[in-house]
Order: sequence, then structure tokens, then C-alpha cells
Amino acid sequence: MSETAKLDSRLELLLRLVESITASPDLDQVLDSVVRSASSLVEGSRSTLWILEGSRLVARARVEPRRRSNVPGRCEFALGEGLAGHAALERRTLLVPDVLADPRTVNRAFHEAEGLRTCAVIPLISHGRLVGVLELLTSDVADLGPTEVEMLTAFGGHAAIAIESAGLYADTERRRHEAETLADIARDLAEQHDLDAILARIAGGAHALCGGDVTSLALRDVDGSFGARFMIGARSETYRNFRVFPGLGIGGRAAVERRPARAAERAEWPRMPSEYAAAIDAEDLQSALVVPIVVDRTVDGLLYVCSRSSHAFSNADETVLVRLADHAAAAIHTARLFAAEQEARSEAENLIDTLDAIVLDADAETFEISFVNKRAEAILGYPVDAWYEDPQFWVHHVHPDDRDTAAADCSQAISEGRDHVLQYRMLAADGRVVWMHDMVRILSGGPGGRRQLRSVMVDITDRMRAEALLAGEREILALIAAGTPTAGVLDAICRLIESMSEGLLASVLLVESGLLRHGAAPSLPRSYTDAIDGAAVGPCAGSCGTAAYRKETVVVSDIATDPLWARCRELALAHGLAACWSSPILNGRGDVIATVALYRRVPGTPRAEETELAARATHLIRILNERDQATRALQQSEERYRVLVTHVPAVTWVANASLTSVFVSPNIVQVTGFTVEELTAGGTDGWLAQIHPEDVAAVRERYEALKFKWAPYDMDYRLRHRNGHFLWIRDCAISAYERDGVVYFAGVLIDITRRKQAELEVQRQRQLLTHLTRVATLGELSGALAHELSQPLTSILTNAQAGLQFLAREPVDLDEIHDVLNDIVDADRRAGEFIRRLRALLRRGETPRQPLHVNDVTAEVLRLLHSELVAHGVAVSTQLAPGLPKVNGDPVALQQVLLNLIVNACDAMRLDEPQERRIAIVTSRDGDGAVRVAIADRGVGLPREGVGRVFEPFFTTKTQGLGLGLVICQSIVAAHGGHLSAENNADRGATFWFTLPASNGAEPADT
Amino acid sequence: MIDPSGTTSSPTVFVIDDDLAVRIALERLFRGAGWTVRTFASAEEFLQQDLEVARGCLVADVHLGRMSGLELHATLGNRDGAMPVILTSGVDDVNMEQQALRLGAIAFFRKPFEAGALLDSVRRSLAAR
Repeated sequence: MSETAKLDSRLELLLRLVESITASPDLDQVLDSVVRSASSLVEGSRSTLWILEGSRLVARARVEPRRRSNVPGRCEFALGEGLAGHAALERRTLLVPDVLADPRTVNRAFHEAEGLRTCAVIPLISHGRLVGVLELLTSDVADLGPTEVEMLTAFGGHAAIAIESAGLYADTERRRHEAETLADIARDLAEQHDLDAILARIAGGAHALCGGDVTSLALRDVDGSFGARFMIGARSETYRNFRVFPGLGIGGRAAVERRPARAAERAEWPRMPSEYAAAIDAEDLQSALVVPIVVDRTVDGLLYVCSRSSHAFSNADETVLVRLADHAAAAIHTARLFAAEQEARSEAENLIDTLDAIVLDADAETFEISFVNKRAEAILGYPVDAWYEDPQFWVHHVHPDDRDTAAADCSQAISEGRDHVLQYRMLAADGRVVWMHDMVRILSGGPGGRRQLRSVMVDITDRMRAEALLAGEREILALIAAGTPTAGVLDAICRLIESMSEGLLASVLLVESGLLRHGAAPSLPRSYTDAIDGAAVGPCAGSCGTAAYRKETVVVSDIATDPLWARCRELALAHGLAACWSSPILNGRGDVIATVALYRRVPGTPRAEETELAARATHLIRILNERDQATRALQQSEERYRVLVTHVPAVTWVANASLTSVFVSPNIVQVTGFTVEELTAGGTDGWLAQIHPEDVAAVRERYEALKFKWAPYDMDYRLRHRNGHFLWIRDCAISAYERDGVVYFAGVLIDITRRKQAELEVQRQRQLLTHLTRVATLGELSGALAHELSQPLTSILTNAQAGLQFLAREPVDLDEIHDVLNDIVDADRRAGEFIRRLRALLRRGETPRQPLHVNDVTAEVLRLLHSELVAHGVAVSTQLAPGLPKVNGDPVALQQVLLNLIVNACDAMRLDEPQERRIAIVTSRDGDGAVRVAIADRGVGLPREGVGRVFEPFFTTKTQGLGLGLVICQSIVAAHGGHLSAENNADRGATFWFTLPASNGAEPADT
Repeated sequence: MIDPSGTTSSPTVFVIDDDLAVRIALERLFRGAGWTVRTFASAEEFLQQDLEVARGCLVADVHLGRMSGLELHATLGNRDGAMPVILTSGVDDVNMEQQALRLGAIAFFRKPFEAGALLDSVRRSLAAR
């Protein structure tokens, strides 16, 4: 796969990962897809995601190749232990080319057994907090380049977001759960008087909310000790039965100190009698949280949650447990009151005031309030007197949007005489909107016999908020996943924030090269956002500019006075903006990409839930940013390809495996004159129809090989242009790849007509040159050749005249005449044969290749050179090996080679003593499947400056030579697939030899 | 015209040519003219023979193996110099022709030659002895 294609598929991987994060809030699923993505970067790699739990890294998700050994791998590391622990402790990426050589490696045997040599570890950091590490182990260091590490870092960034996100979700879910449980218990308190049922429910709630292993609710008995009344999760009888005495054990401590007691681990439990320890150890408990149930200043019970692991309980658990203990206390108190049949109103009010609910009695017809508990003041902020003063107080303080419905539903139920439950919003004194869960009972026997109603209103705002926020977030994640434009998503995020908190105005500014750019602010006036757009980031640049500069949240509670707003104070005040809190949003590299700001029209600081809103918005915008980055990268890559495909003078094509669906880049029209549609309409056959008839068979064969064997090809063929002439096309099938289960082939077509013409021209020139050198050689030999021809002519003429002499005699000797004529015929044949040879050598162009015996070629050349050899006084000895395989060759060209070499040999011996002028020609086998012809002379030898020089063009020792003979010989031999070489002999002279490959399936030559 | 039969021992024409067909043809031509003919494939072969050359004539090709016709001519001239030499050549080479004539060759014939002219030349050289 080419580098670009690899990058492209990786971008796609990243995009899919972002999609899977946005589509699924399930952490395990997301982490699973992170490790899958990571391991898919390198084949056969082992990818592990370690999550930080306390001070330990615990393997949470892993993808690994088939195990080779039984050596166990680690599932847990302490911080600073092993490579993962080091990367986590140092909070920086670790790339270890050879883990076996690294002293930090702890599990060498495992790595060795599994053949894992190279390791990259990416720390996962979210908002400056280490949440885990992503580790990739591979077998080859070459697999982990900078691109892979960059991709791993990107995956790690996503994993960090997902882990953080899961934490936030868990938190939100937990709050919702708490609010529901407490509301249920409050409803029980209002609706039933069965103490045991209520206490059992409280114990159950504590068990579920605090997540302990063993939960118990103990009540004080007459002797002052506490015995477990409700117990969940205990396994041992010892634990179930043991009693707690004040001052002993953790429960005893809570009873004496009248406040919650906690032990985070086994060693922290206070001193206790051995039977206590036995009971605790019987359950294997490690940590515990105990809250006293205080009724009338007396500790009447203990609410325990215990866990079999250390550090199980947090402050949040304690808060919940305390509230549950309060409920338990209220229930116990109520039960006592009922038991004593003392229904004194004041005590009832006390009881009612301990409830975390508004309890009121009102006239069933007029809703005029006859009683409201003190708690109402804390919940809605209005003094109790206000409730009594306004006869329509309740109706007037229901949220205007819910008022009519709530009143109507209530009246309807009252008219039907049934108890009922309503949910609606009320307006608090400070402007907050409070969601109420209102349980209404109809009581008879009010003053004057009028029907009364008793209403218990529980604040369920947290629960409703959590649900609304969750739903809003899901909608926005869906928008992100659906590819909604950035501006639209930012707008939706702002609207979600604003819907969650009355009076908030949300704004998102994007940070681009040090400037703030308008992102979204659906409720801020256009004149304000326009003025802000383009403001610079700086140390004193309003809330947003400063937050982007400092990379931390900036809270300005009063724009009118805060020095950070010095420059744009008037603008903000003119638009009625009084407070602004802004948080920077950082990407994975720590750069500020945007700010999210919450404005108020009255001065003030953010409430906890508003800070949380900003955090949620930040989270969503980071996900959005990841999406946009990935999308942009993909678009850029697509754009690059589009530009390449359009402008590169090559036609690109992609086809499916059966070649039934073919994409061809549109620039084919510039090459062939045909449009894509015209060429692909007829499928493969339509395409083949445009190919030169001589090339069709070869092309079809390659296509079949591609289809059935996935064999890539690179071939040249002629293709018809629309105007009728043929183009030379180079067609390469470059790669096969699989997508969604379908195999595709990709390739390019290049118009090589001009190159091909040039090649043909070069070939023509070479043939011409070959011919010229041949003619030149023959020219050098002209004397000898003339002599060679003159001999048979002499013989003919002389014989003819001798014959005439014989005819003139009587009696004519017919035998003699017969001999004369025979000799004339022979000589004439000989002359004809010689002329034929000469003509062949003088003819231009190539002779078709044919199976030849090198021995025959040698003999033919020697016949031709006979006179030349005689004229030089050169003796030739031949040693022609019998049974040589045939070679496939051009007979004239090979004769030319031998001719040249022999003439050169004669030439080299020009100055030799006559008896030294000897040439030895030896033919032999050259290994398997080749023959060798060597010509050895005893001449002056090759030049001292280098044997190779003789093969250089224009190198010559002759006065009249072109200096091309050997160059041409070399190219002829090379064209036959052979090799021509030379060396000096040990004693004197030089040997030239060449090899020629035997023709395929060549049978040995006749001997 | 001299009738060869009228002589006690007919004069001998020595032919040296490396080409068998040429040798056969010349042998036939000279024999037909009534002379005794001895043929040789090379100058060396000719020199090895202890020949009665008193009444003879040599017809040799210039292009022979090791020793060329010219060299042979020179060698013979150095010995007793009496035998007339006629040279033939398959190559047009004016230099060689002039050199041959300068060395004292009777005639120089370029192949293929008119047999009549050669016979005349041989006849003249024999008569001159």
C-alpha cells in the first residue's frame, strides 16, 4: 500500500473511532474499539489499555495476536513499574525499540516468548489528570514509525476523553439515582407508617447508592448496645449476630462521637475486641463507613456500609448516607410518636420539618394554605409568612408554563376524590426553577368540615436536570455524528446550556491564530458578538481572551468593576451584561481551540451546576473538534487525490474483482478522445474492442490473471483513439485491496505513444548502425572477398577454355569434357553460394530469429573469411564441441559478431611472426542452458589501460576503424540474452568470448 | 607455334594456388596445351620438392598461405634466378602488380583471366628458355 493510501485508511480509522465514541457512552465498548484501532496499525501487534485505579494501572481492554507461549502476561502494574508504569509516572510517551535490552522491562520472559520486541506507551491525560496509558507491542522496530506513534497519540486522546466522559456520565447517573431514591423514601414517609418497611428501604437505598458489599442498619436496644436489624450482603452468621457497644469498633466510635466514622482500609479500623475482629474478618471487610441515626439527640441507630475492598467510600457516599440516616431518624421518630399516640401538632410539625420536603395543608377548593413546614423556606427561599399571606401563593409560584396544567390536574383529581402525584416547576425566591414532585392526599375533617389536602413536595430538580442534560447531550452527540455543521452544533450546545439554567447566556468563541472568532451565541445581541469577533487573546482581554491566554477558567463576577474588562467594559454594559465566566477548551496537544462563556445580566459567581454545565459544554466541543479535524483531514486527502487524478497525465482506474464495475478518471477523454461512459459502457469486451488486434490476446490473458489470481501486471499495448489512429498505452494494475468485503483493483493508464515512437526510432537507428558496421567490416575485407569470388570464376573460365581445347581435338575425349563441365558447375555453385552469403550480410534490417547451431555459424563465417585468413597467413584451429544445444538467434547478426572478432584477431596479429599467427576457435557449453564461443589469438593483446575500453564506442586501434564494431557486437549479443567479454591470455594475445542462452526446449545439435 | 610433341622432354608448368578448383582447371588447361603440369597448394610445398626446373615455368597466385607469391618469386630469384614466373591475383592491387613486374615477373594476371592470354604468356616464357 502506498504511503498516502495508508494515511488515508488511518484517517478513516480515526474518524470511525470518533464515531464510536460519540455513538456509545459505554466505556468498555469505546476502549475496546480504541485497542482494536491501535492494534490494527501494526499487524500482529498487542495493544493494551491500562486504566489508573488508585496508584495501580489495571489492564481494561486488550487485543493481542494468538499467544505463542504459556508465559503469563501482567494485568496490573504499580506506577513506575515496567514500561507502562514508567510512561504513566513520567507522563510522557515512551518508545522502546528493544524491550529486552531496556532495564525498565519487568516481564522479559513474556516478551521473549511472544516475540514482542518494540513497545510504544502513550500516557492518557485528561484535563491534566493521568487516567491511564495505551500500550502497543510489536515484533519489529520498523513497524513503529513517527506516523504510528502520532496515530497512537490520537487514539490515546480519544481514550482519555472516553474515560473522563464515562466518569462524568457515572456521576450524572449517580445523582439521578440518589435523587430518585431519596424521593422514594420521602414518599414512603408521607404515605405509610410501617417503620420496618421504611428502614428496610433505607438500608436497601444505602446499599445501592454507596455500592458497599455489606450494608446494615442497627438499632439501639434497651441495654444500650446495637443489634443489626436490616442486613444486606453478609455471608457469615458471626457477622450477622454480633452486637455493637458504644466506644468499641467503628460503629461504637460513631455512636459515641455522634458523627460519621470511616475506615479506608483494614488498618484504620479502631481498636476492637477480638470477637469484633473475627466478625469483620469473617466477611473479609476492608473499609467501612458508619453514620449514626440520631433521634432527639440520642443515637438510636447506626447505618453501616462496608466493603471488601479498600478505599471504597467517598465524601459523596457519606453525604448520601447522612441524608438516609436523617430519613431513618425521621421515620423512627414518627413511629415512636404514633406508638405513643401523641399526635401533638407541634411535634408533628417538628417531624415534618425534619423532612427534606415541603409539607403543606391547604383547602381542597381554594388552595388556601393552612399549614406549611419550615423546610419550605429552605427549599424555595420564601419566608413561611409569605405562604400564609397570599391565599393563592401556591398557584402564583408555580412556573407560568406549568401553572394552568398543574392547577387543573389537581382540581380534577380532588373533584374525583383521589390522592394523586404531580410534577411541575416552581419559581424560587432567587429566580431558580425548582422541579417539584408533589404527592397530594385528600384529608377529610378540616375546619368546618371542608375537605383539606396534604401535599408533600420533594425537590427533584437535580434528577430532572440530570435527565434533561443527559438527553440534551445525547441529541448533540447525535448531531455531531450526523455531520451537522460546526456552527449548528455549537448553537445547540449554547441552547442546551441556556435551557439548563435560567438567565444564563452562553457563548462559544473559536481561537484562531491568537484571535477570538465568533462561534455561537444564540442569545447574545448581534451587535455585541460582531464587536467581539476578531478580538485578540491576551493577559487582560475580557473573560474569554484572558481565559484563552491563561489556559484556565476566568470568573468575572462583575464586569462593571473587574480590571480584565477594562477595554470592552462599556460595550458589555451597554448590552446589559453584568457577569461573565469563561473556560478555555484545549485539544489533545494542549492548544486552546475555543472558549465557552456563560454571561449573566446580574453580577454573581457561577453555581456548582453552572460550572458543571461549562464542563459538559467543553467536553462536547472537544468531541466536535476531533470530528472536525478528522473530517478536515479526510477532505484534504480527498482534495489531494482529486487534484492528482485530474492533473496527473495518467488515467487512473479502479475496478471490482469481476471487472464488472470500473471507475475511470475523466481525463481519459484527453488521452483517447472517448469519454468514460463510451469506454465503460460495453464492459471489458467494449474496452478490448478498442485494442489493437495484435495485442488483444495478450491483454485478455493479463485481465484473466488479474481477475482469478489477483496477479498485478504492467503491460504496453495499442489502443484506438477516437480519430482512428492507435496510441501506445502502458497499463499497470498496481494494487488489490479489500473494502467492505469486496476486492478492488486499482491501476493507471499512461499514454506512451511518443516514448514508444522514440524507442522504435532508436531501434531503427541501431539496426542501421549495425548494418553500417557490418558493411564497413565487409569493406575492410573487400580485397579478400574479391579474391574469394575470383577463385571460382577463374576456375570456371579456365575450365571452359580448357574444355574448348579438348573439343578442338579429334577424337573428342568425352570423359574429359564431362569432368570439365562438372567442375564448372561446382565452381559456379561455389560462387553463387558465396554471393548469397555476402548478400545476406549486406542486406539491411533484421533476419527473423531461428534455432541455430553455433558450430554452423562458425563454419559459415570461416568459409567467408577463408581468403582473408590466407592473405594474413593466419592459421585457424577449431574445436567445436559436439551436441551443443541450439540457440535462438539472428544468423546474420551472429555471423557479424564472429566476423568482427575473427577479423580483429587477424588484425591484432598483423605484426606477428608468420608462424605465430594462429587463431583458436572453441565452442562449448556454458553451464546449464547456454553455449559459449571463444576466439583466442596470439596478437598484441588488449590495451593496458583496461580491457573494458575496447567495448567503448569509438575506441579503435585501427587507422580506418569506426570504433563501433565491438560496441555493436556487444549489443547484438545482449539482444540475444547473452554476454560478450574479453581478457588477455596468460602468454600472449587475447581471448574474446560470448555466451548465448540455449533456446527453450532446445534439443542437442546433431553431432 | 611449337609442337610440344616434338621435344624430347616436354617443358613443365608449375602451378601454385591454394584453391583446389583453380589448380585443377589450370592443370587441365596446361595439359591440354601439351605441357607437363605439376600443381602445389602452397609455396612451401613447392620449395620442398627437389625439382628439375631447367625447362619450366612457374604460375603462382600472389595470395598464398604463409609465403606469398611475391616472396616465393624473390626466393627463387635469389637461388638461380632462371625460372620465369607468372603471377596471378584475385585482388585488384596496382602496387602489387608493379612490385611483381619490377622483381622480374614475366606477367601478372588478374583473376579471372583469359586463358588464351595466360597460355600465350606461358608459351612465350618457355620458348625464351
